[in-house]
Amino acid sequence: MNESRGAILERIRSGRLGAPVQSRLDPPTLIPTKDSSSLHDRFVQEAEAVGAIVHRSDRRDLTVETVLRILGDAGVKRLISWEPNDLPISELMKAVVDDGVQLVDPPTPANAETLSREWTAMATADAGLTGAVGGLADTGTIVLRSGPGRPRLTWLLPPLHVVVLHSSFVHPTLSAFMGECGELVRCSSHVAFVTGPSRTADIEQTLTIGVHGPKEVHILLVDHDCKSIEESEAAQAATVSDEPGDQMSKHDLVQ
Amino acid sequence: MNSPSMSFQQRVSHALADGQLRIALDRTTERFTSKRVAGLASLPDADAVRDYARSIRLHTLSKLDDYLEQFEANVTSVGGQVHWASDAQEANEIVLDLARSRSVKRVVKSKSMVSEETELNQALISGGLDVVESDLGEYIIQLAGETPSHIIAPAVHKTREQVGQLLADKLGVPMTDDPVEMTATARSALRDVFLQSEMGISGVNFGVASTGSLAIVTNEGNASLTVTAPRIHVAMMGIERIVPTLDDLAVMLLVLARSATGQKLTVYTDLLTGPRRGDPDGPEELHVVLLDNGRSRLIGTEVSEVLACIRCGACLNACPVYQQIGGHAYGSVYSGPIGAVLTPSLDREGPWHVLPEASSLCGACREVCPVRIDIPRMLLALRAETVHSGKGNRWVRVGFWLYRIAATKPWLFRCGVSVVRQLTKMFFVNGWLLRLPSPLPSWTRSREFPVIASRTFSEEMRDREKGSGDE
Repeated sequence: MNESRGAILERIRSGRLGAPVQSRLDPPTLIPTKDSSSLHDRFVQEAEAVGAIVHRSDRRDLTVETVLRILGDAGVKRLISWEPNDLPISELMKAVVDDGVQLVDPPTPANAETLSREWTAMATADAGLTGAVGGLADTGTIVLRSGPGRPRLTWLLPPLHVVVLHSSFVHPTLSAFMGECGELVRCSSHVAFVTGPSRTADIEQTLTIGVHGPKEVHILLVDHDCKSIEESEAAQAATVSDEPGDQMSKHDLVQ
Repeated sequence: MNSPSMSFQQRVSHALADGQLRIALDRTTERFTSKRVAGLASLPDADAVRDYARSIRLHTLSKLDDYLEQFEANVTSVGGQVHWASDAQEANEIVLDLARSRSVKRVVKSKSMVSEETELNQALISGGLDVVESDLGEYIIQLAGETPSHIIAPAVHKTREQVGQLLADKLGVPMTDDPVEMTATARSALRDVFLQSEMGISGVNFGVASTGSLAIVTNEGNASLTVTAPRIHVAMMGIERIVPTLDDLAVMLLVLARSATGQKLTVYTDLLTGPRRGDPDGPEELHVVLLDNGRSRLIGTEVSEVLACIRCGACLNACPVYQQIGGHAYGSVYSGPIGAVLTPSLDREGPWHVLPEASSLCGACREVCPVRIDIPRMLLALRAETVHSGKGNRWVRVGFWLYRIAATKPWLFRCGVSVVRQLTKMFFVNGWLLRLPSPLPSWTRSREFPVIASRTFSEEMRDREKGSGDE
């Protein structure tokens, strides 16, 4: 392995010999929407264009009510969810359970042998409930990150995904998100940018929805106060050093 | 790379005679092309963004060694492991060793062109492992025992009727020609595969040097599941797929989705930075296999630009040759215009020198390329190399040798033209030659050859000058 490493790098170096490093152009000026109301309208428009369903809410009780209605309409009996403290509204989970929906526990990482059995149990869930760390207006994308209390399979496995996104997390573009929230990528094992429901066109380019991931994605774009775990997280991430080595240990501390 | 058993000419004849293939290609390449145009139109200044994307790619390649080292250091610092493979065999051995040492029995794969290049599936299956492809198109061709015919739509050569029949035969489900039903069948068949496999193998769209992140995009979500449920994630990646920073990644993703399918962003864009860190799910181990397989040798050569390719497939859809013959006729993993450059460049010993001939040099590929790769220039360079190395067609060489002698001696040229004119008169029908004699019959296999005009251009000009002199 080390032999190949050295040989590959050596071949690249001898190929490069004498050639200057090619300079890069200045980035083209993007004109992101600054005004927040049009930013949110754009997000809604683009998310709906890719087949997501967006619900807007400016009251906590309305948000809870809407989630219950979505789950009820879809006949959801079993739900997998991020832990209450990782959801933007901590009382949401209790309301769902009070409404008669059964919670399927996420797998326990310590127990590798029974893992596949636990995941098979998760696979029976009718819906997944998550928060989001961002939204991208010009593509209608939601941004999710993994972490303790935030199983990834919640947004991948069930046929229905319900996601609560605070409107202050909507960024104009992917580039804008990377510029402001790059640290979230550094300190999460998995950051997912999800743009609409799962789709394929592998058979004659005919669009078909829900091939592996969810068939339906409901986004609650909320304006009201949240117990905003995302904000504190972003603040923590911002203080993390640029050094990759440092970053790991600090990341462990913030957990 | 595997060598096809038939010659390129035979494969092309085969493809052209395949009615089902023509239907499938007609239905899809057109749809891809129009979606791409619409997708790029949604960028405020698509041309400037493409120029910028190109400059990022060329900059990265011009100091690839530095970026690879940075990438390796960062993958390692977040708990991943990097393996370097000089060739296909070494890459496959690395993966097989990982599987064996960790008692892996079942492997689920998401689409990876690099693993097609190394023929990883065969290696793993001969090693006694169960390997299942999870991309719908790849799953279809795996059931059919075929290879992909398009970079991003592997089963593009099949009509929906053929897919329906295949699923009915292999899975025992009722025959249908409804893609929605077929997709539901695949979803339920693959569910358990994701959850029961111990190892997930994916490709990589981009590796980010500054963070050690892997960017993997799919519309189906199959890669997301492949890299989440199994205990071990192995990512296969060509050494050229590096971008320096997350900002650069954002630019590349912007042009990739639009050029590939016309979407503004692929449905699932996953950024993976190391294995799980106290998360309830996600892989415990992350291994990145960096494959060279002839790439490093291209740095600093006339064809080094081919390494800038981001595998969107737009040049395939735009190519008038690909539109007619499809991907399999190329006989190589990478088909279309980019494949015609990449394949002979990566595998210099293989029978690929004929691939650069499969182009009219119309430039449609360069026109649509999101990073403006000058494919026609490299096709010409490869053709020249073939001639210089003596591998080209003997008759073409003799023909050009004769032409050079004649063209540098006007009297001989005039003489030759009049002899050829007399000769063609012996064969023509209604002003057309239907069949040229050996060694030229391939000229007339699928088209007629016009008879040489009764008077040459120089003769016409001479007469005109005489005529004007008389006035």
